[in-house]
Amino acid sequence: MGPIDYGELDVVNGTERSPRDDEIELTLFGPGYGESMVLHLGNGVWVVVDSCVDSTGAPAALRYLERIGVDSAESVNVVFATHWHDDHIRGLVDILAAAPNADFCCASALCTSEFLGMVGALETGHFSVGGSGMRELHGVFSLLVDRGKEPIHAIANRMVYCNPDCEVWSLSPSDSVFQTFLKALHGLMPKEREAKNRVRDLSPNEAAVVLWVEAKGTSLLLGSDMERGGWSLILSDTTRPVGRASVFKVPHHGSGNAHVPEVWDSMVEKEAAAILAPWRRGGHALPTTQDAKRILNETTRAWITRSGSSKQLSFKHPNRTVEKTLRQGVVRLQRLPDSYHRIRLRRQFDSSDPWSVELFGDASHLSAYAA
Amino acid sequence: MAPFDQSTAAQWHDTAADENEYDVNTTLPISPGVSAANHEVERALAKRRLADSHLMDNSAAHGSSVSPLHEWNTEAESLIVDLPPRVTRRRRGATLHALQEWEGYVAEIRHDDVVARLTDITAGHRYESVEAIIPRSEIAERDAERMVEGSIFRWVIGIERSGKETVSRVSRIVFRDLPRMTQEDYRRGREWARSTMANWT
Repeated sequence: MGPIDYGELDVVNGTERSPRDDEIELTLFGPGYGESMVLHLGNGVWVVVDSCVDSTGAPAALRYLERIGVDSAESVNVVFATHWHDDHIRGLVDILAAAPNADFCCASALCTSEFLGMVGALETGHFSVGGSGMRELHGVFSLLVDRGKEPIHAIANRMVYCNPDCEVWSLSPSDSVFQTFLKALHGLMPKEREAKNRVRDLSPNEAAVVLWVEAKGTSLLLGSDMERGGWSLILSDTTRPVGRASVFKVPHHGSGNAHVPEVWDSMVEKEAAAILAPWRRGGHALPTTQDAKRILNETTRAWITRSGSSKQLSFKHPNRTVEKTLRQGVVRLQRLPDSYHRIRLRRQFDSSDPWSVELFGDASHLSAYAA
Repeated sequence: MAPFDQSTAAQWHDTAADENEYDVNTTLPISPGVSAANHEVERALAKRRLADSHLMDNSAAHGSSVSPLHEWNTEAESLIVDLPPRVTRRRRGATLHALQEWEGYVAEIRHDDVVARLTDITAGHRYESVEAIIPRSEIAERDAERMVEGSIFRWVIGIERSGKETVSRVSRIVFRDLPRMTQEDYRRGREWARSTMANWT
């Protein structure tokens, strides 16, 4: 690996050290290109949930772990892919390649012959420079075959990882969603003689994997991009783990279509720490100001990885001729965020103290975003 | 302004008369990154060189105006590549010097415009770094008719020299004729799925 420029990870009000063995940590990255988390489950055991990258294609999770002195090869036990939207899986192959002992867990629906058949058919002959999520998943499954490993299938209420100190459960997708997902796949797969375009995102994404983490008296709810319909199924399932989470990764970038009051009422502690990463496309941003205010009504302890994400990033080309051509044209351009920012939560096991919150880069309290 | 030349893919393909009409550039800057990422880029580069040489062979052998992409699709299925050859088109008496080249995909089609994400080919980026909102009026009718979410295009801004000392700035959005799904693709997908799942208990 070449030298790493940590400039984009400059600390605003946090300090860098790896967590102690008796500390649990959740760090959320975003955006960059997407959203990702790393989770320390104690005693040097780490898991990675989804992946996002910077403009060089380097995964945020790997850079962060290296920076705080954690050896990914030794310490990353599981890599989770909660769903296959591009903004959650870019760099996943690199993470798995750097963690040779890690297991890989994804929705059971992604481990079907139907889905893998689509991946296999579309990965080769793809003429896009950036490839697509298909290529990333093809790389992941091929790597698992090389290692003789089988993916862990996430379905509703399955314990997908455990050690003496902690358990990780998948709360979704349910059986009914599984069937819906397979039907939707048929709509995504190009028909014979249709162009091999980039596969669009599947929405609503009820096949997303919501994770429930329990570690020595501390519970966390990681909401992925789950939307309302999926949450209703989770809430109606009486066999799910009981308890209330003291940390909630707010689903789907805080969107109203993922907000279910009963989740806050029955699965999350009052004044829990809520964290989220924003999203933006075509002039539409998530969360909206209303979304942010709604979340702040549920808890005042809410943070977002980038406070200024509702503002557009102006684009200026370094070549004067190109810039002049662009300015005279009618196409509107804006830069996409090329560096990631992060929120780090830490707490000692068995502690009832509030989580310590450290903000890096442009991360801020959600009230600054709402303002 | 230098208006958008709403040339379509066909216009790009009509100059494949002989090998000498292409300046093939196989140099692609490699972004810093982790080793696996570099490996992937190197693999893609190798395939691009292979595709370039195949393209040269095709254009020389056929001496026709048939799209090179179609040639690949029908004649060289086994040589299907991850990256297209990057070429500077040179029509007789006209050259285009690309100053900026993006690959874009259509992320969202709206009533009056299209939201697209652009990857900077010139800078050798792996992922998109720019978002473009393109008025539908800027997209050629033929392209607009077949455009769907996920369609891939090239956007080139450059200097064109044509005729006698005529120099103009040009900006071209060209939707690409991508390979079509074939029964062979489906078969290969099923086979890959089968061989992958055969490793599972």
